[in-house]
Order: sequence, then C-alpha cells, then structure tokens
Amino acid sequence: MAPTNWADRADQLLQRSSTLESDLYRSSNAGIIRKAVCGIGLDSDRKHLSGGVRIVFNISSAHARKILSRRYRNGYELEEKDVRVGGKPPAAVSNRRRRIDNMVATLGSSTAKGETLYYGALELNGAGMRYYGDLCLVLREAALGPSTLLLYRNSYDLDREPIRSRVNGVEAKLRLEARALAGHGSDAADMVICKILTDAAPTTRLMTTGLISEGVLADEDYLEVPLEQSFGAAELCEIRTASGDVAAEARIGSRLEQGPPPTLAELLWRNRRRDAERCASDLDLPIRIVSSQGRTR
Amino acid sequence: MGAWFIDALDSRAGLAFVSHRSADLLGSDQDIDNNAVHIGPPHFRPETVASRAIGMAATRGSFQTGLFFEEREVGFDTLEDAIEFVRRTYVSGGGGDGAGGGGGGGGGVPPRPPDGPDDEDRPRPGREKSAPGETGRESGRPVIALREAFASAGEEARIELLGPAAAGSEGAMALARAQAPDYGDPGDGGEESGPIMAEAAALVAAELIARAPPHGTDAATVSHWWNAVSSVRAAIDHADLWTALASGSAGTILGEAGKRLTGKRYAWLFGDHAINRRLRPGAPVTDDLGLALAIAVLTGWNTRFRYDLWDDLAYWLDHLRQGYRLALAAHRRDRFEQLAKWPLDSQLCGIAGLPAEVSSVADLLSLATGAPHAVEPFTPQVAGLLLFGAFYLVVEEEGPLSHRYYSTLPEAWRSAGIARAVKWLSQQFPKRAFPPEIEAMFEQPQRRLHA
Repeated sequence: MAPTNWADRADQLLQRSSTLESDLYRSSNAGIIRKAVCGIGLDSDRKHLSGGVRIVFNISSAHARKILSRRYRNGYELEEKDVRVGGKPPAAVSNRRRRIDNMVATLGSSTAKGETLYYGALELNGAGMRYYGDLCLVLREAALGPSTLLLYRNSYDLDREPIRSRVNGVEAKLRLEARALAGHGSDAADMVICKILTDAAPTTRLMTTGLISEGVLADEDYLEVPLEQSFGAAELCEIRTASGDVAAEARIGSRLEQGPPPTLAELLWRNRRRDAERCASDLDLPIRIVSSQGRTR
Repeated sequence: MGAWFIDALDSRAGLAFVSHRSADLLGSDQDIDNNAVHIGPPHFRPETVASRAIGMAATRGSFQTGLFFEEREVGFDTLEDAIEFVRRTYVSGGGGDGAGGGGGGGGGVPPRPPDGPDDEDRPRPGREKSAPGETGRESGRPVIALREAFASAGEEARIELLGPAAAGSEGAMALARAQAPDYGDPGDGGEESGPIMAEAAALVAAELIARAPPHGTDAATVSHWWNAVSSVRAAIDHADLWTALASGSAGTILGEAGKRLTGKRYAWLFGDHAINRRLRPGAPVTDDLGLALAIAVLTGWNTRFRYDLWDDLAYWLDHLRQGYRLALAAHRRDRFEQLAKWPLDSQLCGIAGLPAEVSSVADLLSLATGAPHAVEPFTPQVAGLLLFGAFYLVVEEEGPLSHRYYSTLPEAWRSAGIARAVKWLSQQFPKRAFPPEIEAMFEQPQRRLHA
C-alpha cells in the first residue's frame, strides 16, 4: 500500500467530464471546501487572516491554569508524574498505545519519537473534541506548516476493523496502513475534500461553511495532528468553548442566585471554568463562544 | 465475566470513558470496536460513543489508562456505580484547588503574613469558656449522621478478586461491590445548630484575623484579605450569627483572635478612632477588647458602633449578645468562590489531610462530601463548617430584618435554612459507598497534587 497522494485522490472524487447536475455541484463543493480550509472568503480570493483550519487541543478547564502557565503535557509525561488514581497498571497495559504511537512517529521527522508526540485535531470554526475537555485550545496558524504531519483518521483506527484484519499483527503491514493514512499540512484541503465528499450523497446544493466544519470534525470522527513539540500559551491564538457549556455555566449561576441550588460538582465545574477564563484574560488570550460552526467572521 | 470497566479516566477533570466488557486491558486482544460511554461534568450523565477507540486515544493526553487495584482491573456492577466513582473522584479532587491544584478561582485563601502569629495556642474545643446552656458541643448532629450512614454502608461493601490468581494476568479483575447509603430523612436540627455554625464562623474568622496583613503589606494582598473578610462577614450576617458569635465558644475563639491584634503591627487596621486609646502600650488587653476588635475587623469598623458604643465595650457587647442585629449589607457575589477564600486553620487541615496554610472551606466541602472517610475524626467542628458553608451556598434569600427583641422570625428563618443546608449536604454525600480498597483511591487526587 503506497503513501496516499491526496491531491490525486481528491481529484478522483470529481467526475470532471460529467455533465450530471450532481457531479457539477460536487466539483463546486470541492472548491468551496478548499477555500474554507484555506481561509479564503467565498466572496473574494483573498485569504482571511483568522480564517481556515487550525490545530486544536481540547483540555478540561480543571487543567487550564497549569497548562497555560506551563505547557501542554502528553500521557507519557503525566505517567512519569504518577498522578493516576488507583494502582499502577502492569506495563502491558500501555503496550498497545506505544505500538501505535511508535508507528505514527515513523511517519514524522527523523527525530520523532512515540513518547514525544502531542495529538491534536484539525478544526474549522468549532469547539473541537469536547469529549476530551470543555476548552478548545486553538494554535496559531503558523503551527500548521506545509510539512506538519496529518492523519486521515484517529490513529487508533489502525487497531480497529477493517484495518486490523488486514494487518493481522504483521508490523510491516501496519506500517503500510499507517503511511496510507498520512498526509501533510500542504494536503489539508485535499484530505478534507476526501473526508467530506467520499461518502457524500449526490446533491444539487452548494455546501455551507457550517456543513464543512461539521465534516472536518464530526463528533468522534476527526483528522488527527500528531505534533512533535509541545506548546504553551504563547503558541495559542484563542480558546474556544461550546455554547452549550456556556449555557450550562449560566444556568448554574442562575440557580445559585435563585434556586434550586446547584450540586457541588456543578459549582466546582463552573468555578474552574471561571478560573480558566481569568487565567486566559491575564494572558490576553481571547475566549470565543462557539455558537455556530458556520462562517462567523 | 462482564462488568463496567474504566477505559480512560481523567480524575481531576471528572472525565471518563467506560465500557461493559471483560477485564481485557491486560490482554493483547481488546475489542475496541465495542460501544463505550462518556461521562463528564457538570451533570455526569452518560453519553454513548461509537467505540472504545476514542477513550483509548484519550490516554495520550490527560487521561490515565484503566483503573487498577493490585494489578487487576477494577470492575463495577452497574453503570451507575462507575459514574458515581468518576463523580466522586471529581468532587473529592476539588479539595486540591485551594493549593494550586489548578482551579480555585478568586485567588484562594489569603496568605499568612511572614511573621504572623502562629495558632498553637489558639483556643479550641474543650478549652473554651462556654456560656450557660450552650449546646454547641452536641450539635452538628444531622451532618455527622450523614457521615455515619455512609460509613455504615461502607461496612457492607466488598471487593471480590476474580479471575487468574497471578497478579497482572489477563482477565484478572477486582469487582467493587458498592452499597447505597441510606441517609433517611436528614431532619433539620435547626434549633441546635446555630451555635455550631457560629463556632465554625468564628474558626474561619479567627484564621482570617491571624492572617491580617501587617503594615506595609502590598495593596493586592491587603485587598484580597479584605475581600475574604467581607465575604465571611456577609455569611455571618446572612445567617444572623452575630449574637451567637459574641458568646460561648465562638466568642472565646474570636476574642482570642482579636487580642492578637493589639500589637502596633496591626494598629493601622483601626485608623484614628476611639479604639486607639485602648491600644496604647500598657493598656489592659481584656477578653472583651479582643472580641470587640475582632468584630470591628469583621464588620469593617461599622458605623453602628463606631463612636457611640465603643467607649463602653461591656455595654456594646451585652447589647450584641442580647440580640442587637448588625444587619449589614451582604456582598454575596459568587458564593462558592467566596468559600474558597475562607481559610482553615492547621488543626482542621490536619484532620482532613489537606495542606496547611492554603486550604479553604471549599476544599473541605469537596473532600468531606466526595470522600467522607478522608476526614477523620469527623468532629462537630467539621460538621459545623460544612453546615456554615452549605447554608451560605443554598439559602439564596436574604433573612428577615426584624429585630430579635420583637420577633422570633429570624430564628425560624435560620432553622428552615439549616434544614435546607442539611438536605443539600445529604444530596452531595456519596450515592454509593465502595469497599475500603476503592474508597482509598478518592484520597489520591488532591494529595498527589500537593506532592
């Protein structure tokens, strides 16, 4: 299995010679996706300074102060600090993760190591992977360079069906599968076109930016970005938070004032979010509430 | 054997991925295509996710892989048990916020001044002068009963070690058989809980007074200290505790704290008022003077007694003890954040295993409700602090302003408020008691954060 040429693969999705209305719309939609990913406005060919996809990392507000005042740490670094609850697991428990991380590292630079990768996601306008935390740290545009490693899927998909059966425990096959998932920052638009249009039903409607945002990062399905270096507050351009969380926070505050009283867990959660916001404010980091994944600016 | 297991857990964040499966994390062949359940704050409602892969991937960030006891995966009988475990790790972990655990908000407790008075000879229960008929020692009963109900359920909880005998073997599991505590009807206990709340308020106020910034302290620290003082004052006023504060064990605690302010070091707090005549070198430092100084600090040198009453301390304090209500305007703001500014003294920190100097009533509330066994002994003072904090949090209305001379309305209002506070505390106490081996895990997050 050869490394994927994402430009070719994206092009193959488009029936350039077809005169079918749905194929014509598919081509137009590919163009719209490319512009949205690159941050080019729909009404001009100029790149919008704050537009386009970004690398994001979701964290809990409970960790915000530590991460913003120091730097983001990955699972290996945290293991060394031994902050886990319960007993220490046997080494075999992390072998699976190590195997995948080491494989991903072979896709990066010659100095990349599995233990020093930091896994983010590609995001367009949204609030990121909320399962991992209520705050979405958005890296500056410069973090996504032309040679930045991108993965078409969550790399754990390498250990899931149908890839798992194809690999069947053979390392060389795993390496080939991993290479097929890999792309670079320069491929971002083509990878997103493939992700959105590969299984898209024929349509005669033009796509909106909101639809593209949902396609880039939909629920559990995202494009993964394994960075070879950590980052701190200086590398961030903003923090995003979902409107649902903001509404929950406001409702907890309202119940504190007028009853019925919130639970202690709710108060703690709200307090930590406020503390994170205070910390971000001290660092002049804007917090943006994501109320729509459409073209909001 | 199928049970609910944790795939990934971020205890401080209260986030977890759990799945119903066999104990397979130690094996080489995990079925990560199975559905999983995501759990998270603030509501801890389960949400299904399509596969375990997303949880596995989470372990590359802030999540730990699985939950283990003696190299066995810990399993739970029901999803509700697993959710309660995650919720409790979250709440009990809140007991580390005050010590720079990452949250806290509002700057935490005011620092102790570098050469401030230590609290070794702080009057504590058993040494205080109690007023006749004072029942403070016996109160706090409804809160202590919650802890007893929890402990009783814990005695029924068991851990079962199943699967291969060799530690670390695939399929080996520790099944946590939890028990639901029966808190019954917490009752109100309102009639007898006033003094214990006043004593709790006095303990917090005394610790704050011990942290009074000496002359020359930077403005930000002074301001932070005053914000903490004003929030305790608001809570005292809100619960109508001034009279109880001026008598019994609370009065003793507060009076001793106030006497420490008579040195030149703190004279600046009182400005150019009549009080300075009493603070001259060589002037007698009486119990009443200490109490009056403490209340003067707490009330921000309130004009109600600034000139007209100060010259006759005995008269003024009697007036207060007989029910003169200061009825100060309460500045309640974000009340949970205020609780994080109320410092605990070193003895209370020791009881709770919380770090001295930096821990707050909010920390105690988190730890004592998330991991009640971690607070040992669970004294009436602990109960009083929980009650005082809970009352401030859950009674959102302002109390009646009628004068005690003419009405018992304030007492009835406070009694009803105490009942609500106890009820709320019972709702925050664990919904499941786990076996001791699992309960011990709730003590880990905050302790590790301070390591």
